[in-house]
Amino acid sequence: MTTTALFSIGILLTLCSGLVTLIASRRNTLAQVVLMGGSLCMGYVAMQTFVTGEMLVLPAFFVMKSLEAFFVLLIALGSFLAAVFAYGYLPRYRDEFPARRVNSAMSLFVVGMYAVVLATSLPVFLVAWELMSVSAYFLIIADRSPASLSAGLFYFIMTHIGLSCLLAGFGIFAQGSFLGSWEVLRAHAETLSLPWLTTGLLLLFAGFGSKAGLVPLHGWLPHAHPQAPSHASALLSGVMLPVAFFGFVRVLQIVPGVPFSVALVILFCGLLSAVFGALYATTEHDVKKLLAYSSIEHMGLIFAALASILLLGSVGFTVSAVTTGLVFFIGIHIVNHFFFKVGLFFSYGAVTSEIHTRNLDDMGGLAQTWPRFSAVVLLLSLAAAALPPTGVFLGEWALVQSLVLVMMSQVPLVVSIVALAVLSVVGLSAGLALFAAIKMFSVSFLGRARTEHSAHAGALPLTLTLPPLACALGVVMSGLVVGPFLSGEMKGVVLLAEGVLVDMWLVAGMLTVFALVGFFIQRMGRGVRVTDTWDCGAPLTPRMQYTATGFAAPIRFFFRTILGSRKHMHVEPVTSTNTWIARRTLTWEIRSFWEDALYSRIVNVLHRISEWVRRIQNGVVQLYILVVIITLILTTIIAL
Amino acid sequence: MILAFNLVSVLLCAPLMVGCVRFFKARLQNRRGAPVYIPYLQLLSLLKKEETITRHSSWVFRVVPLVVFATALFLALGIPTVFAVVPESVGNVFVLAGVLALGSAFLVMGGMDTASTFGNMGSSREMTLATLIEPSVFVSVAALSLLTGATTLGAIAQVPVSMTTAGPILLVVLGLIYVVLLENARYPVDNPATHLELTMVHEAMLLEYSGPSLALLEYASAIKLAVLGTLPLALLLPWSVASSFENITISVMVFLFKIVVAALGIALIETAVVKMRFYRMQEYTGIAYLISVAGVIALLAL
Repeated sequence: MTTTALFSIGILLTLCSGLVTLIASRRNTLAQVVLMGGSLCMGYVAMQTFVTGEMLVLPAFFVMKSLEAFFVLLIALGSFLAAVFAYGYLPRYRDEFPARRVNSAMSLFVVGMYAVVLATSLPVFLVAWELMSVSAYFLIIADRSPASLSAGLFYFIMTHIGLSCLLAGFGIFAQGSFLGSWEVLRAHAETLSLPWLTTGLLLLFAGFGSKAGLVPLHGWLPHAHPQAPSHASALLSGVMLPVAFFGFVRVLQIVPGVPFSVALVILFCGLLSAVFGALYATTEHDVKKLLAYSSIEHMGLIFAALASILLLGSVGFTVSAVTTGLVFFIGIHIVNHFFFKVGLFFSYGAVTSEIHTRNLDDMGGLAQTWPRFSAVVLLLSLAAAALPPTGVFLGEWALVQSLVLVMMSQVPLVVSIVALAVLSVVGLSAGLALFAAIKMFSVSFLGRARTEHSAHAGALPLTLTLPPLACALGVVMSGLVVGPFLSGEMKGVVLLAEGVLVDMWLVAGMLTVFALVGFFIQRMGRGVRVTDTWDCGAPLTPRMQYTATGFAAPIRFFFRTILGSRKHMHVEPVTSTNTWIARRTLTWEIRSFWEDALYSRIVNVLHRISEWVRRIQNGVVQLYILVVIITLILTTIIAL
Repeated sequence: MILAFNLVSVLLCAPLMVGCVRFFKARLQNRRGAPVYIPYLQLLSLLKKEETITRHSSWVFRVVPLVVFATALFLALGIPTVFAVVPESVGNVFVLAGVLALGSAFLVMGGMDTASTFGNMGSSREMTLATLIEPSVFVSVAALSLLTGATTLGAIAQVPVSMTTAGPILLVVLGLIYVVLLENARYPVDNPATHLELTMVHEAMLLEYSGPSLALLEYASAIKLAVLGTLPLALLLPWSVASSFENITISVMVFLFKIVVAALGIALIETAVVKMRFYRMQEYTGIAYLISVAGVIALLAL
């Protein structure tokens, strides 16, 4: 069978998985199996293209080269894992997430992402982009709850502001004609003057950046991602955000060069996202929101690395090891972020389906109920914290090592200081990410169960635990395998030779050997006795443990100027004689800095404008006709 | 061979440093002080004891001492102490920083897996401190790279000490001392001598551990203290780290000398300085960061 035929079958099967649920009612199983088949076909095609490195021309204006193959592989792997997970997950939510609705939106969503990556011309790209965005909207509002609907509306508005930025930006590059292929756009872009180039690039960055969840256009993400069913959240975070990043890389392929100012803006937004995403993740107690914020952080890091490459390019600095190191970081971090984020969304989706809450403050003690599953989640959390021996550590290690290499080579002092600033910010966000990940795991899995649901969690079916296990293996193996793989196959010898890669086998091996030594020392004692926790004589209750909220209290204190938590005690006297007898209600919330400082202000301005506009809309038909005539005259004048 | 010798000498000398700190501190506070070999006896007696484990803990509680111990040994292998020879990937500065964070993370999990507010409190604080110090760790590690011109600490013996480089080196070393004091839970960040909930961080997390597990954790923190405590001295006196097997007795003597000097320094700090309030730690970490940044900029401007 030829690859093109296989590709067509893959796309058709993915589409069919949606159709199957629509036609045959309650056929979730069939739909997921069909989706798995489609993903396998696409994955095979992408793998072949990636390994051989040949260009593959596909039907319906699609072309796949190794860069596209990388992302197609990511989408295929994501949809495969999601299908396996949904096989066991969706039947648990028969009422909230009807299989018809979710599966049909899912199949369009996956096809939309394939098309975004493979499109060879602007119109196809834009249609695919819209297909992806709109089907994502239906995934977000899948349970039709008020919270989902409002989050969905927020997302819908933001994604269309993003789309209009894209249209405007591409409009500048295409010089009015939206029907050209990328080559036509590239030819146009070379004739643009610097101000137009800058404006176009900034608009496109805003469009793709808002989709990728970069601060300050990230507002929708922490509301929208958690509302979708968990396997959809996983794809939204782990796959759709990298696809948005890919969109921006596509833009970089059509522009002749990126001006210094644009690169600086991207760097700034990337670093801002890295810090803010991580900071909000530390204080969050809704586990899916925590993961969504963590996605913002990691996309910020990826964009910051991209901006560093662009900045170094624009000042004429070319040390191969640094650029290779940064590119290596971007590539491996996209893969690793995919693995651990998808794995964690799956894991906590499974947890939530069993104990019916997303609130970390109500979990606890799960490691005693599910010892093997907790090991999987521990590995994924270590990856989210970027700790050795996971591949995420290797990626972030390449990032900081490249920055230090910039400082170590003979560059102007300013460049070194920028590198130092980036290094510091990456350090801060790494520290906060460590906090968030360790908090998430230890509050939910360690200690004692805080609620009845958490104490009596039942067994998890294999389809819910296998996909996270696959992700955990992926995130560990990516660190170990990548070194030999790169040095052998992909001419990454530079990386090893110039010290831009560590031998993770050695690191992991050493740690294991030392831990084994510790294991034998631990056995030297006179046995083990199980007792109660030391309690000063008064029995402890699960409520006495630190919650996720309490655990993060010091961070909230140290960052209080940015986080701006609001605490309000409402005291209502019960009797008039004694003021001390009163009913007290404590409301406490973390304010979102950006929603207060940016979004609500814009909303206020819009409200005021619409109040003003409403005066014209007073029911007098003559006035409406006057407005229409004035508009016509104005349009004619402008057009002529 | 050299590596093994390095590791073994650190393992043998680590409890000595803890004993020295306690002894000097006692002397400075007009007490007689226990003999310096007491920590060895403590560890040995812990090894012989029965271990108690709370019923509210999981397998993670048992694994924590192993991982913490492993990270400490890793640091001992990767940071030059007696000889300036370290294995390539293990001795990379950022790998060492990552392994250090791995140790803290597991210690935190140990404190969280006890269902006791005491351990939880220590964990929350330790995690916060690890987060706040992270930028300083990154910057001072970058400073070490710039100073030695290499990405491993094996090149530490080649640090050029002269009149012009003395200033930047001093700044880097000062920043490093701030980081080291925090990472080892010493004054003014933490008080290793008390079991009072207001002051403790590190000890609170260890509270539920007993027997061999406690021995592993105590030993790990002693190793960390010996390895990281002598690192600033090695930067100031680059000749103190030998590069070959010749004059082995002198090298070992120099290492013992560094341990004693570092212990004396820590004892002096702990006698002269008051422990800072936990909610003022942003000042401490802020100063640590600024000093490290100043050190790096001074190095770059050279």
